[in-house]
Order: sequence, then C-alpha cells, then structure tokens
Amino acid sequence: MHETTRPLVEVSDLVVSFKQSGGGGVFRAVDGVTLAIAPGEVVGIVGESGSGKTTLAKTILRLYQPSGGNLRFQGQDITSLGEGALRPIRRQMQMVFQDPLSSFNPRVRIGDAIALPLRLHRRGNADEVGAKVSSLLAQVGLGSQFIGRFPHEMSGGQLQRVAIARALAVEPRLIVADEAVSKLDVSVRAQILNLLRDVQASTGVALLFITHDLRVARYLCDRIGVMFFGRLVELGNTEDVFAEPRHPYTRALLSTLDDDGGELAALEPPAPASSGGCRYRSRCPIVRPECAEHRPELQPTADGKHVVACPYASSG
Amino acid sequence: MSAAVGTEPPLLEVRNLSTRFRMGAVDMLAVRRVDLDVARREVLGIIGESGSGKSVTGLSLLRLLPAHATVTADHLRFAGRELLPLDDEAFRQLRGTHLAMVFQDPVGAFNPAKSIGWHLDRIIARAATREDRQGIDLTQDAHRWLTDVGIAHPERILPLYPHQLSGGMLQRTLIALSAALQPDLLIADEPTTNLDNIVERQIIGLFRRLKDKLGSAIIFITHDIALAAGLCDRIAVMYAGEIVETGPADVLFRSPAHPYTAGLIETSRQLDDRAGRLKEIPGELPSGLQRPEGCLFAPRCGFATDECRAAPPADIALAPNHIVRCIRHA
Repeated sequence: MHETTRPLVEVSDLVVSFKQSGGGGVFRAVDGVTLAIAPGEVVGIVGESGSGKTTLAKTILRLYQPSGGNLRFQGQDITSLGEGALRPIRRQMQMVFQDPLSSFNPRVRIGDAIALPLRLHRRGNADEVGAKVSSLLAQVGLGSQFIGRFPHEMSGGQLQRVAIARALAVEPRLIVADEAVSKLDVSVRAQILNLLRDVQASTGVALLFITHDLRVARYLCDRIGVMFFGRLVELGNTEDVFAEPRHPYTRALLSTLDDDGGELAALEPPAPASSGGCRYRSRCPIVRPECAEHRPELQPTADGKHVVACPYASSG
Repeated sequence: MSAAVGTEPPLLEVRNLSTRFRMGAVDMLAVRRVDLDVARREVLGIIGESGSGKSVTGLSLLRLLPAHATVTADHLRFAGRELLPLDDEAFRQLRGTHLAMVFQDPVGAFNPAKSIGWHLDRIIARAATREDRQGIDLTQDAHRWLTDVGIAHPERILPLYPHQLSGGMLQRTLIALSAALQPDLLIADEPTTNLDNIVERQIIGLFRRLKDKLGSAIIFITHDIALAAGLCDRIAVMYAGEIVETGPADVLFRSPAHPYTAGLIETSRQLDDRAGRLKEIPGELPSGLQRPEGCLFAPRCGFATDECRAAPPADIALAPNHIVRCIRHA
C-alpha cells in the first residue's frame, strides 16, 4: 500500500446503528469497520445486499452520523463535524448512485444539474461555469447538445455519464460509486467502466466502488474489501483476494464465479449480533465451538498479503 | 424461427407475434415478428437488454399486459390449442395451472398483508382444480417443493409474512409455490437479477433440478447470456423487439452468428481480463418509437453496410435449429 502518503480516508472501528422500528432495538448496519483509502486508490467493497456496504459508503461521506469509531478525511477528524464545517469537505467527496434517473431532478436541465455544484461552491462566474459544463460533458463523452435536455430525454447510460460529470465538476478527491453500473445494460456497462477508469487515471481521484458484482470489482479495483453483515471479513489487493481467498465467506462468494452452478445449500440467517462471536458461523463449513465465543478481528495472513477476520482460515 | 426438438409437436408454438402499446396518438411496437417454439422438458432462454422486448414477450404469452397493449400473432398455440381466441375467463383457467410465471421481484408477487401459509393454501386450492392432480396430497406435495428449494423446515416459514423473509428466501418460496402448481410451461422473468451472487447460483441450480423433476417447459428470461448458457437448452437473443438469433445454447455461445450476440458474449467474458480496456458496443438500443429502417442493430454494428440500412434483414438458417437475422450470412 501507499505507505509514504497519508491516507485520504481513514475509517477506524466505525459503527453505524439504526433504531429498529417498533421494538426499540438497535440494528448495527456497520459494526466495527477499519479501512483506509489512499489518494488516487480504487477500493471496492463487495458483499450481499444488507451487508452494510452502502451504509459504510454513505457514512464515509457523512450522509449518516457514525454511532461509534472514528472517521478522518485528509487527516481531519470529521466523525462528528457539524453541517457548516462539513461543507468545504463535502466538495472533496462526491457520489454516483445506482439509478441515474432518480438521482436527477426531473425538472432541471442537464447543463444546470452539472452547473449546480459549481455555483454552490462558487466556482467561477456564469461564463466560466458555462465553459466548464461543456468541458465536463466532453470529458464524459457527451456533446454540448445535451446541455438543454431534461433527464427523461436521455438514456440510462447517458445519464450515468452526466452523473459522473456532475461528480467531477468540483474536482473532488474521492468519488463514491454505489452500484454505479449495476442497473446499466451489459452493452452500456463497458462504456461506463471504461469511462470510470479514464476519469480516475486522468484526474487521480480516489474511488470507493460499492458493488455486488465480483467481476466488475475485480476489473476496476486496486483493493477489495469483503463485507458480511456489517463487518469487513477480508481486505487485500484484488489479485491476492481473488487468487487466494481466505475467509470462508469470501471463498463461498468467489465460488459463484465458476460456471458450474454451485450447490443448493440452505441459506442460514447469520448468527444473531447479540450472541457475540463470528456472525458467519451459522453458515461456515469450518466452524468450531470457539467461533461462538470470540468475535474475530482482521489479522494479517501468514504471507502478509491481506487481512482476514478468521483465525482458522487457510489457503488452498 | 422454428427449431423442433424431437418429433413431437412443440408445447408452445408462436408465429409472428407482435405487441403494440398505444401511446397517445402513436403505437409503440415493443415486440415484432417473433417466432418461438418450446418443447416439453426444454429450457428456452430469452436474452435481451432492457427495452429488447423480452419481458413483454413473456407477458404477451400469459396475457398479463395492460389494456392499452395489443397482442397479435399468426399462431399462439399451447398444447395444440390456439390461445388468442380464448376469452379472458378461459385464459384464467390456464394461467396459474398449466401456465405460470415467476417475476424478478418476488415481493410484488406476494400479498404483503397475508402470511406465506395463506399463499400456499391459495396455490393448493388452485392446483386442486386440475383434473390430473386429483387424489394427490397437494399440501404434502407443496411442502416437498419447499424443502426442495432449500427451505429445511417449511412449517416455520408458513406463519411468517413476506417482509420477514429475505429476498432470496422469498424468491425460493415463490419458485417452490410455482412448481407446486406443476405448470406445463413456467416463464421465469429475470428471477435472479435482484439477488446476490451466492443466491443467484443457487436459484440457477434449482431451475436445473426443476427442469428434470418437474418435466415442464421453462422459458428463462434474462439479460445475462453467460447465466443462460449454463442453464438453457436453446437461446433466443432479442434486440429492440425482435429475435435476431436463435440456436442451441452451446452452439450459440461457441460460435455466435449475429454481431450483437457476439458482442454480448464478448462483454460478459472480457471482465475477466483486468489489464485490458473493455471493448464496447457503441451507442444504445433504439427506442420503440424511433426504429431504424433496415437492420435494427445496424447503427451500432461494426459490419454494417448500406444494404443493412436499406431493408430489414430476413431470417437465415445456418442449421435447421440455428437461425440468424443478419445479411452477412446470406
């Protein structure tokens, strides 16, 4: 990893909990996650729906308030920063969502949608903003004829390009892309993945890429974190994680990449959070009695290549 | 585009199916010139992107479209019987007994205010109306299907409400309930798209076993050609409302004839190479209102010539069961 540079994002033991409707209980969507993102790095978070990956991403952007742990951006502690103090930091972090249509105001023309963050953050006069909008559209492969269009007059792929242009407008240091290609058609997906790679290479922006699609994560990301019910269970360089997955959950997940269809195992719900211990133990093929007692923390693997939250995980 | 398997007549025989939606003063043609055959015990994959007409094709077959849709066909024959002339009541008798459909979103298929057990009872009552299912313990049969899809203790989920089950569990339950109907034809529309990789693989495995155990014909609608190749006997590729290529899954996957099919296979495989830049299919699908004059794929096709743009291409048989709508093979 980038040892010489200070991480752009530092997440340590982050907890995000939500009150449960009715019962008054508390649900920990993110349950003690530690993760660093270096400047210009592309980090992927994979996991099932409900694993907390979107909550983690939104909390890094401080769209949610952490319930515990610490969050730093460019060295500054932003764990409990107020809205006013967050504003200059928000400019540095942008988001691209899964559904491009619902992330645009249907009554705002494309040109204005891209110009809005520039105006909000007072980036130049009207002429400069106009020129910047055109150059941003060009950067994502769209001509100036789209400036006057409304979102519904554009296809999903074109709108996702606009969403990327809007995110780039304020020259952020971090873009969080939450399932940004999941809803796109396969033939359009390649266009957007190429664009994300180009944009990342030309601007040096760091990318936190949230996806359930392992192939997409492997293609795009430098490092991959695997989440299971609020916890990171494995984290490492993409090649290492894919070549030698250690955690039994990562192995189960990666086995779906084989085309033989997989076994039809009963999907047990995770072990209850309140019970302590490893939450994967209800599904785990290498479960031991000790797994119910200690919650495993991320530990370096023997070869030091990645970290895994299972003391009994082995390679091979 | 017929491709009979074996000698018995196909269970489903569709000729020249078109579906239009009335949009104000104009008609939007969502499906056009579609021919399909599905044999008993066959799994036919219909592949396409959003807007390709693949879901509308499935909904047209089951007469599940809204009132502003018009379905026409030369033949829409199911088990030797023409379906289009049937009145709605007669059609309802078929749907949910001999014909069934599983959707992408299992939540929408359940009544949120009723328990799983209530749905099960309704399914059993429906199945009991069939003459060929008399004398069978349908409750036991339904429980067996639930166990079969990996729900170890069906009695535990019966008192639960749909929102209390995960998406994967709910989709399994829906598939089990559909299987309990013992339909002759099961249409599954993107049944794994909203599910996680692990659950998706399990559902595919489930369909494989279903095909053997149920003896039904299955139409599997998906955008994922690699997924379909692993499950289906034959594949029909739809583009902008038309079937552009149909053939045995292995042949089509190994040697696709239509440039669009080749592009889809390429885009699904190329993510495995991290280093390379992804090859794109340029452009996007035409809308239902603005269709190209000639070949629908010509504006995005690297091989397109003036001839392609001049007139719609005819079907060309590369083999008796491998048909492509592209003049390059003429």
